[in-house]
Amino acid sequence: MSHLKSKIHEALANKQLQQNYYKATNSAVAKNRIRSQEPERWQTLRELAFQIRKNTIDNLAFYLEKAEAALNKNQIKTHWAASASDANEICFQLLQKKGIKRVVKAKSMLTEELELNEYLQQRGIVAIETDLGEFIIQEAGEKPSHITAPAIHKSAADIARLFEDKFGLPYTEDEHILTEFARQKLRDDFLQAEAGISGANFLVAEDGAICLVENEGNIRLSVSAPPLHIALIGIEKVVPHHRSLAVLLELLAPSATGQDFPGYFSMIRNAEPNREIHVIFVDNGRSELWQNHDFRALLHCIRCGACMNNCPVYQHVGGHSYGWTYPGPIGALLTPLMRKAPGDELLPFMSTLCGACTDACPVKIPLHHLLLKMRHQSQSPQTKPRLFSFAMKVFSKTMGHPNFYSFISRIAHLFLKLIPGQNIHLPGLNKYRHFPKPAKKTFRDMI
Amino acid sequence: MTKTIHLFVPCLVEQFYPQTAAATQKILQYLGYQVFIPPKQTCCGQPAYNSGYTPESTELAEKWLQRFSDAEIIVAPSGSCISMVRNHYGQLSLAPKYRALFEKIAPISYELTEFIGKFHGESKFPGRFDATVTYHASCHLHREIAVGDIPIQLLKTKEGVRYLPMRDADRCCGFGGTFVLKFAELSSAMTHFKAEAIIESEAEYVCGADAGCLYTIQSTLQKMKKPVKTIHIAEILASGLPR
Repeated sequence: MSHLKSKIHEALANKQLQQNYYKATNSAVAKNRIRSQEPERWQTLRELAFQIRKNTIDNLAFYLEKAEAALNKNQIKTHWAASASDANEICFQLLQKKGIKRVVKAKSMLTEELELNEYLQQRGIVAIETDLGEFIIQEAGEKPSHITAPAIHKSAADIARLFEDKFGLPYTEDEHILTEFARQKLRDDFLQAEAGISGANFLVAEDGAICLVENEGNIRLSVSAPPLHIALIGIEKVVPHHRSLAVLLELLAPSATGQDFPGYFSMIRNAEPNREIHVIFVDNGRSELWQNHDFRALLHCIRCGACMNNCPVYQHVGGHSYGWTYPGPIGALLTPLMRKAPGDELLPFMSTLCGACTDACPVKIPLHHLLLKMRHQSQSPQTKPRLFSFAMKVFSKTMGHPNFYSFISRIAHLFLKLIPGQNIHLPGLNKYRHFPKPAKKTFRDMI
Repeated sequence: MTKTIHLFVPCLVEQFYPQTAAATQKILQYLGYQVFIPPKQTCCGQPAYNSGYTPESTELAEKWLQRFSDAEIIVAPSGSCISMVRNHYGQLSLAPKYRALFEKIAPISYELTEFIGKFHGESKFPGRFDATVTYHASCHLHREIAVGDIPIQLLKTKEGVRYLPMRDADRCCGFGGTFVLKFAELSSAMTHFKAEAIIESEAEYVCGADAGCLYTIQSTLQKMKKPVKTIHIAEILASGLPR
């Protein structure tokens, strides 16, 4: 059994886990008011968003240069990181120069991708996650299972047990008490932190505004309370101007959580006196992806999580089964292209191609068609085992020759008649299904 | 002059549900068409295409196009096979001759309920089907062909049918072609989820418009020893239909 299949097996054995995913993702999908109640506006916005993202990504160098010039004009220092280790090292150097030992972190999937926390920790710097979900999984020693709701796999009971073990909080599933406890605990961290590290949802090229979307206010506090703010920004996060930003913002929260608008939206333009802001532009495989015309559209992604919220496979197997930072349909595409670990090439095959992701994507990335394209490009013995490839050859040859097909079909029917019962017994599959036998007569034989 | 429809019989229908093809033929004849069944037709190539086998699917696509080359209209009782022809053949590197055929044929290929909805929207099919029926919305029919609620409207107009809604009706049944074999355990969990929604609807029949979904669902309901029966929408509409 492959590593992926054993992870699937493990996830499917945990009914509670599937319930957690199903409940949380479905409630987000159901709340998306524009999609369900204003379908025409929804489609217009999506088309606009697609055009904006396509234009931006196709002219990425132009907009990045513009963004950098605007940031510098705003007294924000800029850095460029080609790889994860470059990005982590730049960040570490900035902290070390000031002798900083404690930082607070705003939720950022990019820093998860870079494994920044681990990098800093190994060098004696403590990074504290301040988003409630990230805080929970950091305390639990786990990885995010969703890109906008990192602790989506945890039930209230799981969190109650965790807080009881870790902090001695009397067991309670009351989410207000749990949240208030984390809030009080983090309050001191905010006050003591010497730097705040964030990602960014968007970076506006025309005036260098760093845009941060959130629901808890922790991001706002992380980047404004400490005297130093370091923002790590994937190079694809740039948007040309505020009017294009407005379109993307209208789609982001409805697609992510089903809210009309996020709880907090911050735009940071200038560093206040005695405060410093640094932006680290991170490539880490993005320009390679940019050069790949078949999959460049993946850079259009605005990381809303709608594709996983709508994905029946994701709901069953959960975020951790995908094995890297980005789960769901977008992860099944990004992981083999960016991480490229052995076994990642199987991910595009872990889909029924139902298209629920494509239908939900606010920037119209044709996700399930890209999964298909990747299947066609894949040539590994893992994705195309020799026996299966041989069977496919036999299938296509048989189907390609109608007379031979009729002949084979007749033989198969005669053979199946000899087997008692109503079902075909396929080795290893009988525990899952009872496949019905073919009809007594094929349509061809009926007419 | 009577128009002729080329009936495209998907391989799963041919092998497992010949009654679906017969019902489709009956419906089209009732609507006043001549029905021609290209004798040498086989598979559209979707199983190979969805598994990522380019040369195999290209070969089958070209052969399929050849067999339907002189069609005026093509109808199939399957959304996914029609979607393969309409939305995916164009992605293959077809020889110029077949590329031209594809461009001619793709716009005249229809899924059965789509065809009825588009050209015979006001039709009511006489005859009865006395049962409670719920409807599973197949992914490709609903997302790639975008048939909307035509199938449900058709069900509701059939005398005797008591339509019962299903929760998560447009959620995938877990079939996905060779996915059912490659990720058997995951696929089975997905079908169980669908089966539970079907059972909750309390209908006697689960109706669909794609043999792949129906086969998958049937295999699971049988395993679960549940009495709910699967049926293709063509069979319900053709029930009691005069010749």
